[in-house]
Amino acid sequence: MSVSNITATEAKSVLTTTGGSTIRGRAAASNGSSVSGGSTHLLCGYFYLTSFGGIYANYRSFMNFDLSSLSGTVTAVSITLKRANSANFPDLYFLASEAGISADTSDYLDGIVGASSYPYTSDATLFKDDACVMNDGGSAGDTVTFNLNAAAITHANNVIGTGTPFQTVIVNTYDYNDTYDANESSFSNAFAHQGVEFESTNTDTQGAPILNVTVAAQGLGKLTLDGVKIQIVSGKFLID
Amino acid sequence: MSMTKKQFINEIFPNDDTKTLHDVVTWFVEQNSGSFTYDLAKNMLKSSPSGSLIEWDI
Repeated sequence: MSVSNITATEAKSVLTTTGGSTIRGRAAASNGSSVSGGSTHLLCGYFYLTSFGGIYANYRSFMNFDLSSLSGTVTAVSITLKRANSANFPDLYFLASEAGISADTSDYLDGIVGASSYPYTSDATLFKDDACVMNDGGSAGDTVTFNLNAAAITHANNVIGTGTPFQTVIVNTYDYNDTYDANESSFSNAFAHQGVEFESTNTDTQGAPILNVTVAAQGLGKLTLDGVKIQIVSGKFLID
Repeated sequence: MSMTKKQFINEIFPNDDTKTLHDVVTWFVEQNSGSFTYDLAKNMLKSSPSGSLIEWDI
């Protein structure tokens, strides 16, 4: 058994600031408005501001990992993220993604495997069976590791050793479960993103997400010795 | 409902007659450390219920 730690090729957030007149309308949009750039973290919460009559944004964080240099049978996959703040909300979900190497605004919905309309709850493929609860007391610089499920392992086995990357997307619980409408009355009003943030490929390649891929030990397999001399000399097995 | 440009700017810079829509957008971008570009922030503000009621000259 061996474990390879693969740093994300790209990990960025796609956000949408248009669609409907509520934050749920933003989640239900088909396309994003922007891909986070500059020194932006992976933004895994929401933007909720009632000033100016209401300004809202929903974020989805896409990431991919190059497994082309690996081979063998994957038996486990986990992902390690480095916190960029101490926020303890919202709960997060890992889903299968097909966004490609470089996330684009058009991946906002289409980049989620199985999603063709909102809500996509019953269509998406979970890469972790339950929500990631973020009230772990962590702060900026701390790392958190989540063990992914059988669907993620299957995906890893499908792409290992190929040019197709391992892809996943983080969405928050209000987005995934379509519960923005039911919960927004409890949200704080703020001029900035609210919720947990992780280091991205924008911020620091040393802090970018890491996929930990466990590959089963490989046997030597069938060995053919043709035209060689085998000797046992003084208790040693020699091949000339 | 009507709103003046001054009332809009006052949401961020109350009682400061020197501030402009450009200052509001710039301030908005600064609060979000790269999450919003200038153009994205401007469009968010411009398409907000209040922003849609005023004339934008930037």
